[in-house]
Amino acid sequence: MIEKQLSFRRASPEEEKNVYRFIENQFGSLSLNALEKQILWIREGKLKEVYAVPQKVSELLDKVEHDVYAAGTPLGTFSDTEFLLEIEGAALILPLTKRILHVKTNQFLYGKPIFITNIKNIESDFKKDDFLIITGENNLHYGIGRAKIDSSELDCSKPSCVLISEYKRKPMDRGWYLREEN
Amino acid sequence: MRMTSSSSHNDVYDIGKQFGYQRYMIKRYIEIIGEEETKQLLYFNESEPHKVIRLNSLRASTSQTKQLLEKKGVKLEDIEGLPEGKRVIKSSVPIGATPEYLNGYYMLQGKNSMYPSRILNPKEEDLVGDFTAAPGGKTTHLAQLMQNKGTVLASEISSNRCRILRSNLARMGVKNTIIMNMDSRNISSLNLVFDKVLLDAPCSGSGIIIKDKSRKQSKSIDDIMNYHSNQVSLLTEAIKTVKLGGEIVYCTCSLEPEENELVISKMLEQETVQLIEMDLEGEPGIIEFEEYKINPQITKTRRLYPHKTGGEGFFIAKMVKVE
Repeated sequence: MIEKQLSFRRASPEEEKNVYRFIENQFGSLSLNALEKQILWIREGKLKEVYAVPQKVSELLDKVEHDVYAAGTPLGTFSDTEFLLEIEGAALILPLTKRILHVKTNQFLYGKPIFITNIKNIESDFKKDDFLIITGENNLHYGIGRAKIDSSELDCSKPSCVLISEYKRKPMDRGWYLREEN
Repeated sequence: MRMTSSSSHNDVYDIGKQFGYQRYMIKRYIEIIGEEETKQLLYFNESEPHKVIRLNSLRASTSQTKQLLEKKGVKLEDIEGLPEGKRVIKSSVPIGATPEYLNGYYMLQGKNSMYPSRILNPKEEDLVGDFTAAPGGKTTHLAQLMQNKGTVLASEISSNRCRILRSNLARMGVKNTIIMNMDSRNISSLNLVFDKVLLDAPCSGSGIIIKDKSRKQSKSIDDIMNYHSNQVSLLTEAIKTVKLGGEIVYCTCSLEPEENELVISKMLEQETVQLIEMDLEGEPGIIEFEEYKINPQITKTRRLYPHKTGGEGFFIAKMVKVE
């Protein structure tokens, strides 16, 4: 069976707009600085993968579009028109946002949910379904997750209440790198 | 009582048999390094040396990573000549699964496998080719030495290994690299001209028996010859794609002359490259083996034996393209 050749191409203006809009809406306009001097590229597949590529590397990509597997930083994926930031996209934005959840345990790195009792502190308020960048010991990046409740509900919810659940579509925690090795 | 030569010989073969080696391997080890050193090599391959990590300055400073690991009870030791390499003397945590590891603050990488990228010495503005690149230890090291500037084009024929390469590059914060899922023997079809190329060629792996005991039984001389012809094709292609005056580093983790000196010897016959001396530990490449008479220039290459360097067995050659 001949494997279908995946194409690697520059993101369309519409796709770029969707990526920027998602990042700005979720993490604030300052976070867009993470993509300064980066060109967005798309790898077509079951999901459309988005890569942030430095200018110079991008110039070379223009010459070698065939057989490209990946380039630059994997930022996130599109499913239909919805863009979702993933692990490395979150790591890029981390220094530029306050939408951060600090946790006390490493459980999230093993694909486990984050309970209210695991919270060390939050840097800004958030609404249900907002994305939060997760950090742990020594402020190390752990991944990204989607809030299941508002920050205003934290005080009145049970400690066992799940704040961030494991994500079905794509691994969102850095422990994924370990699982990927095996 | 003084041991006779033949009883000493038998002694080495007995040790080889006891440890599960094929007889041909012991025979050629004796020819290359002598009986006494063959024994040392065989015993070394049964030992458990300290793990080695490479601190990744793309993610955090050396001092920050050292501090974080020391807080966890990890004791590190410097490695001479490799400022980013650290030997893990003691660890109370699994070193390949800490949050720092997952954040790409360091990579588990053998000491001797850090040399090829350093010897290639890529500059920030260079276009560097890294052929047969997965799993990416050397690719991420190249990106680190280039401080994520310039461009690395990393090629890998297996899409599954491309996936692992992508994962390692992402974890280590590499931004300046393109992964090509292609046969590195066809790189010239891209019409690119590289400033430098690193070719860590697929090999029989006899230098890393310490990590992969199955190698003692898994490869025959025929396999070694098959690797040889693939290595010649790959290196010919690498030379074709580098600019005039550009440099190529060829390496394998094999101790077999057919995969090392005899590959370089073939390239020297074509007079397109010259060997460059390297300031590196190890022994000069060999110029006599079985019936082969090898180009004396080969002494500019380096053999790194596990029992002598305390790392993986490696062969490294540095060349400049002259025609």
